[in-house]
Amino acid sequence: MIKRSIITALALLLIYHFALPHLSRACYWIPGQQRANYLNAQEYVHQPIQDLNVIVGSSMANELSQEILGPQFSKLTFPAGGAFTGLEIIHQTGKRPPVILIEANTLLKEVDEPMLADVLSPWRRQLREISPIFREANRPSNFQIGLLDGLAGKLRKPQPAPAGEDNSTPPNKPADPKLLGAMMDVHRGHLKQAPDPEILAAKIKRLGDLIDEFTLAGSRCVLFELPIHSSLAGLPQPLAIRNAMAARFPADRYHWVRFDPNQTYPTSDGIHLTRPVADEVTRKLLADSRP
Amino acid sequence: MLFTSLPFVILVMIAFAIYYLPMVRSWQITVLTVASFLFYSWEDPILVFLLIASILINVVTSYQIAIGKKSAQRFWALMGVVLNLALLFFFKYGPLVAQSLFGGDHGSIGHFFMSIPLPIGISFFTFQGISLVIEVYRSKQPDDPFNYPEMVPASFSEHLKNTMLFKAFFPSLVAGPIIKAHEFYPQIVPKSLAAIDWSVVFRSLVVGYFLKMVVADNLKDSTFWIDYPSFLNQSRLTLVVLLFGYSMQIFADFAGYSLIAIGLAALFGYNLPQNFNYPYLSRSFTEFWQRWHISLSTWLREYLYIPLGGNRKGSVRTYVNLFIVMFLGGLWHGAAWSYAVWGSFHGLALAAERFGKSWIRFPKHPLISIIQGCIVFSFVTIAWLLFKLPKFEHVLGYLNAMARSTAPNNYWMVGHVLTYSAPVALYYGWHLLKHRFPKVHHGEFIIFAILIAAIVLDSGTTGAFIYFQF
Repeated sequence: MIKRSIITALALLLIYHFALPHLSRACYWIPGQQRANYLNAQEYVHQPIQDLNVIVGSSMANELSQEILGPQFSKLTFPAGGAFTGLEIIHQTGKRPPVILIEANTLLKEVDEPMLADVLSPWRRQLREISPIFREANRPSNFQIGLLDGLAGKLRKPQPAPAGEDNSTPPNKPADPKLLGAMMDVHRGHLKQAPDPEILAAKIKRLGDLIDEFTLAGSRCVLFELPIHSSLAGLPQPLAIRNAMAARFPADRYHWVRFDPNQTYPTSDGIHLTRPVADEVTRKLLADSRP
Repeated sequence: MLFTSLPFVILVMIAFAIYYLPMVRSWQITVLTVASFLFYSWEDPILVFLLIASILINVVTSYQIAIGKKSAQRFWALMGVVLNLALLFFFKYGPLVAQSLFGGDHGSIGHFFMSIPLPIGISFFTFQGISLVIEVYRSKQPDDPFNYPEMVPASFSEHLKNTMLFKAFFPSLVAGPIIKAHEFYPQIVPKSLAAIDWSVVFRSLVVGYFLKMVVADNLKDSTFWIDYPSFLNQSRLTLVVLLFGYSMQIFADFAGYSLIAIGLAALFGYNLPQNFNYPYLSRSFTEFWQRWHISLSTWLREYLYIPLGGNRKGSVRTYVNLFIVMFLGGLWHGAAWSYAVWGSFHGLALAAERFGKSWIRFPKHPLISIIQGCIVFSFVTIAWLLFKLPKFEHVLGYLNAMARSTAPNNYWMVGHVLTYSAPVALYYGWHLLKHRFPKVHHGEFIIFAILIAAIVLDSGTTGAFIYFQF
């Protein structure tokens, strides 16, 4: 039984390998934030084009429009993560994008080590090069859920984001007042805690090292802090990060894109911009990041 | 070290290769013990000292009970139980108590206690230690009704060696099944490669890894949203499905872990007790606790419920005993009042069911069994919310949103949860089918082949086992 099971399993893998190119991509569905993160990272790692610009950040930068950024930009923006995960991917793959847009808001977020281990592990990378069946995008369950979607004709509500984008949350439309209030309380509770100065200093140092390395290799690093709800922007955590960033990366030596602090930026939950505002911010970011 | 990590696979392969070498046959216990210590110390080597302290407590006290003066047996038994519980209390409940008494401000005693990390698996290996002390003590009583086998050899060093393996045995070290001393010690004999039951190893590992890596690790990406205030933004249908998914996840996670542990133990020639027996088929709470985390419920029955008097001291005392056992069983899961509430809920349910059974007799009919099963499953599933949402007001908020939310349905989430819950339903269905037609084995290899292919192609991102936190 054991031998037969293993041989049949290998046969199933082979069948899937040969069937995959013939399965319609329309039937595939990428559910969930975690999978979208892995898919984004894998697509970037296995992307043959070496000179793609990159935007790194968290779910906040993930709201920026891929359509407006255009195909020359790849988004290494990870909900529940931060800019360092994207920066480490660039660093460890040895790719040197012409432009790297770096979101500064979530600097304190740790690198997603399990994801890096998954997408950068040499044997896994090789396996994914040999057969695309081992990539996140081609999981059989994506096909199964997509098929369900097609059969039911209902699953596509709300409309999914393009492959690779988080199509679950956060909602990029204004939330109802009760939810907004609860979300604001959660963010306020989190952001009112000043960061440990040692941890912040270590993060700033690492960011400086990476920016110096990329700049030496010919990349142009552009820093930006995305606007958040005005009642949250002045809390100890964002303030500490802002001050530390301004001290280490002064505007006369580093390229910054600034957003008017006096302007009100509508958000869905206090920290994520609503769709039209995110589009507007994307346009400004694109225009101001040009040399 | 996670069962799903590459270093673990390498450790098992090396340990297995050395373990069965003919020239190290007399060193098998040492090989397994060293592998277990490596396994336990991988993330945080300092934890080994705690494990060693716990082992020494049990070795010394159980040895003294078995070999020492008869008049001191009770003292050593008491000492063994108290020291085991003291260790557990200090590391697990110290932070909760200290925070409640002294607050959690920086520099306070409460803050100091809260900064002590919870040693992984402490609840499991402490309970195993207590089982050793109690069973050795019981076996030395002239009117021992349990008829336990001899567990303590005359040689202290041999007892130390055996007990190190019993307490540190890596397949069950951090999340069970909780092995009782009388189940394990008689198994400590030289093992041979030819005696391995490969069928048990293969089936347990494939099903266990499938439940953990494909079902639980994928479901966690959806059930992640059972979190305040995110759930306020979900529809009634989505919330119901998410809760159902969490129920499936927690089963797949823990039953998967237990099966992996059973498969690994079988690889080294040891039999671990079954920990899950299709618990969601239960038609009563009593039956549920005979099928869910069996090693814990039998431990609680043997070492707590029966010594408290069990059901031998009248109805009221039985209800009280059931409540006490489940309340403490709830607290065993974690140092938070939500676990106590969860345990109390099950305690009350068991007591109410026992009370009801003395008044009402349901006729035996498949439809009634199905209705009973649905009721038990619904209550058990709702109670899991206390595991997921530590604040009681958030649990009530979730239940309220389940009844009143007007948010639109999130169909991808529903599809995702149902896709990964379906294998659990099929797992139960297959069991029922085999129960109905015991001789049907044709094509089983195809099922295992599909499970293997799914593990390779569709595993979720690695998540720690839920029961590690206990």
